[in-house]
Amino acid sequence: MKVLFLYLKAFSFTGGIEKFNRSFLKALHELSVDGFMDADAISAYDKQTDEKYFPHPRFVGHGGGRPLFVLNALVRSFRYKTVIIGHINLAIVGNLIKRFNPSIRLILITHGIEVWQTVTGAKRQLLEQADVILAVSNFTKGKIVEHNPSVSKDKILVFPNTIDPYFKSPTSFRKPDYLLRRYGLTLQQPVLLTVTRLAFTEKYKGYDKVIESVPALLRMNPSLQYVICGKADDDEKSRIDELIKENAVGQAVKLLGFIEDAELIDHYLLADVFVLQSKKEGFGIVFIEALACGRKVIAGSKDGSVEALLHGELGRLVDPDNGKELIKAIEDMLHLADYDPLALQQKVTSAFGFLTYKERLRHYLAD
Amino acid sequence: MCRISGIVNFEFSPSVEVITSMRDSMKHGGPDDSGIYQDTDFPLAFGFRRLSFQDLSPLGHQPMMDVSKKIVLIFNGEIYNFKEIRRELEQKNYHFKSASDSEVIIYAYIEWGRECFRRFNGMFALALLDKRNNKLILARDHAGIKPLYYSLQKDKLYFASEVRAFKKVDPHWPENSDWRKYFLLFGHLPEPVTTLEGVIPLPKGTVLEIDLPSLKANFHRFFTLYYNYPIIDKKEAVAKIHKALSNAVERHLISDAPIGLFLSGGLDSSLLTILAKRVIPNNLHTLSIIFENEIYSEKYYQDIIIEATGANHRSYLVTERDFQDCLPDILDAMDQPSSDGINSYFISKYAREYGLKAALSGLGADELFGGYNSFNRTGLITSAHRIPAFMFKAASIFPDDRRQKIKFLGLKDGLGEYLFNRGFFAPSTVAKLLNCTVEEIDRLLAKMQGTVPIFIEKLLPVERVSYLERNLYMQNQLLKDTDYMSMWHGLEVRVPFLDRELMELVYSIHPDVRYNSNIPKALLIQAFGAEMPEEIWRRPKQGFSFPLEQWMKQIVPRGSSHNADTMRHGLENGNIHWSRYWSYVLTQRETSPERLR
Repeated sequence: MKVLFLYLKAFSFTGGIEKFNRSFLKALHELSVDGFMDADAISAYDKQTDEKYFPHPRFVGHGGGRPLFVLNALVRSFRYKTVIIGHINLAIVGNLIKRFNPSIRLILITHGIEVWQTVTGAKRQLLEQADVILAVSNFTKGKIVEHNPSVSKDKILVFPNTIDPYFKSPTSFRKPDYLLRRYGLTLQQPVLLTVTRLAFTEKYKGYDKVIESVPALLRMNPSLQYVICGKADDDEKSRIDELIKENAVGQAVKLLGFIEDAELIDHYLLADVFVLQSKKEGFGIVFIEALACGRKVIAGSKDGSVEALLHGELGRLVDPDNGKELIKAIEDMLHLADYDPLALQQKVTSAFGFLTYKERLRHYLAD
Repeated sequence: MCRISGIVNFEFSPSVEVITSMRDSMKHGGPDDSGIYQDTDFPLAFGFRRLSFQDLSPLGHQPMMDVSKKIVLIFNGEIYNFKEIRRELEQKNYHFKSASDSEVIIYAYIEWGRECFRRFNGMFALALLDKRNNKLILARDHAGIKPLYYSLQKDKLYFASEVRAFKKVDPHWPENSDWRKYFLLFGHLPEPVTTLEGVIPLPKGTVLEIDLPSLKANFHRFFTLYYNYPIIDKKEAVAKIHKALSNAVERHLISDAPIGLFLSGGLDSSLLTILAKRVIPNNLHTLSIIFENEIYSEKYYQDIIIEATGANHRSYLVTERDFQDCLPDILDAMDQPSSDGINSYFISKYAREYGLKAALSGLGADELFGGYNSFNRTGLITSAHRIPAFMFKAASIFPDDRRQKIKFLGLKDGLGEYLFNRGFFAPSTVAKLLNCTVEEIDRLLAKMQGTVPIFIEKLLPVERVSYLERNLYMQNQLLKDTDYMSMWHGLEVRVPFLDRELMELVYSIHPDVRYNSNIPKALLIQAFGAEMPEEIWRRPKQGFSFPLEQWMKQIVPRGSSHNADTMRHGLENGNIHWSRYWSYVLTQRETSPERLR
């Protein structure tokens, strides 16, 4: 089975969709080595591939040259039986391919908020024309159908995110000494952790609500620290600094900025509780990463996060707009008596590990 | 290291005589002990011959069962990391009676099911009866170091470590009518071909799960190299290779029986000897073969390593007379025809005479680290792929077989590339030698094309060469020869370069870092150059040479024919390499062992 994957970026940016694309590329390559398919990829924005995930001879990168990307993708698509469109923003190329080669099997990947609305024009046409739509969660599937009733729900398959195949799930769950020293923390000090990009335009992640909860939490846990990892844009940094000042929690909140991949797992291990009660997660890779590190997790109950936490089996779900519920959940999770990090790790790996992901993709593509 | 065999037969329940006969056809590979198991619920029998290394006591006897007698195991090989797995199982409250790796396999299977094979670092071929789930499991190690052949028919299954055992089931077991064609094309029998019809090897890194009584079979791979490259930094690669190979050698020296090393004086065996010295400084035994004619001698280089390590070394002289005297035994030892293996026969024979029960070999280093000339021909092959296929057909006009091999490049795939580099005879010569048509040979090649996976076309050229050398040449020739020749003498050969962790590491290093077109095995030299005498890593590659050109002249193929005369004439005037002549001679003998002259 010859498969062509068209996507935006995987290696030239760091974000949830890029993480998804890297794992997806690796799965396509592995399935090719397994003899199940023969997959190639064309990127609109990556100039080159990272051979850790996808081999150079299977890859063409356009580095931002979009017209050439469209032309190349269209011309090459005739050699393939299946074309996978990595984002609805590639609707034009997807529609052109289907128009010139109606017998081709067109698969569209949807990630989250980009399809939680009524889409129009070329995007709507692609949703309708695609033979299969992979939705990152049932929640996203529901939103597509709710806002775009002309799209058949039968062709939407739920294809959850995975943990990166190179994510080395830890074997010891102890807080790393070097990070405790670096941040002036003690082993006994309770740590709340959020890992997310801090963007002024995306005010749905909920870390501001956690900051507002810190004074109440400090009354019960005087040494508590709230650590936020992730790159912040200038406007958001100013807003959060202001919020910290307003709540007088400068001593208890740390903004660490972007964390290199090499230290990411150790930062997860620093946490007693990982919290991100977001409202607009298609799924949320960070949840399953935190769980793979054996961390207790709190997530929002109003989006795809619910599925990453297996409807509460792997962690605590809270109403992201309810401050009191959040404080209670954090308090409960900090003092959870019956907690087995290894069991959490095993459960999340079984549900969302890379092997499960790859086999799910094999199954869907075989169908 | 042992020999295993088995029968499941729903037509006629397997008799003790047949399973014993299968088992004892391979008794040379298991002189220390033997056992038979007959199941009470299914018409199933296992045969086992033991060559013991871990736990030399009777507690290592096989077939081995778990405490509930629901799992029955016969196992050929070594699990080098069995102590770590055992510790993990002990933490889960498993209790062990013996110190053997076999018992660890049984409880690892009980704990993790067929996923247990992902945890094993070793060489193995095994059969395991799971009476809890009515399943028979056959499994073979990640690199196909140990052999396992099987024949699955409508209501019966046979399996064994050697093909010869199947002839004990039925002395008239039909021959594979095409084996001679494959053999003359490749110089070996490429998997899945054997000399017998319907007898095939289990692919490496695979579990075959067979339901009883339906005999419905499912394959599951537990080891695949995916050729992704997280390591792109030379310094990191060098440091990691140093550590991984040192660990691999240490693991491979685990034994309760005497163990030594083949020392040719080349880079690979010298390196292993130096690394082994650190593990067994006072008990280092090495051996080599020497010849009367000095041009074949590597004594100079062997002496450098012996002096550097203080190894207890013995050199064994092999003469033409020895070759002639041993020829019938060499043919008996050869379970499947091979254009090589004579060297392995002698070194194994002398290792046993030396008192060793196991020996380490440098096999695999050339394939993993780029030691062959084929690694330098990738530019030529890439250019040839741009030429239209039909143009290669014109190569038929060349009068000599060597240049006619250019025709193989017209196949435009990995198989063609391999046959161009390593093929023995061109299709027209094979047709002439076997009195068949070129079209028959072409059809055979077309059938073979599916056995080389498509994905290798999209590997970087040097990686493709490594794949082909490892999966065709090493798998079908070197490993096979080494196994049956060593086992014939009751010697276990261990191959640290094929250590699972080392292989995974090597193939996670980007080929640009791993290979250097000017220096063979450059990465190994960078990792260990400082610890080795310079003369060793600067010397030109010699291989494991034997003066067989001369010795082969005494061998006359059965019967007389124009072809036989042409081949003999070619050998005598130097136009035909001895290995080609030897291959031709082997196609002229029956599958049953007998003298050639």
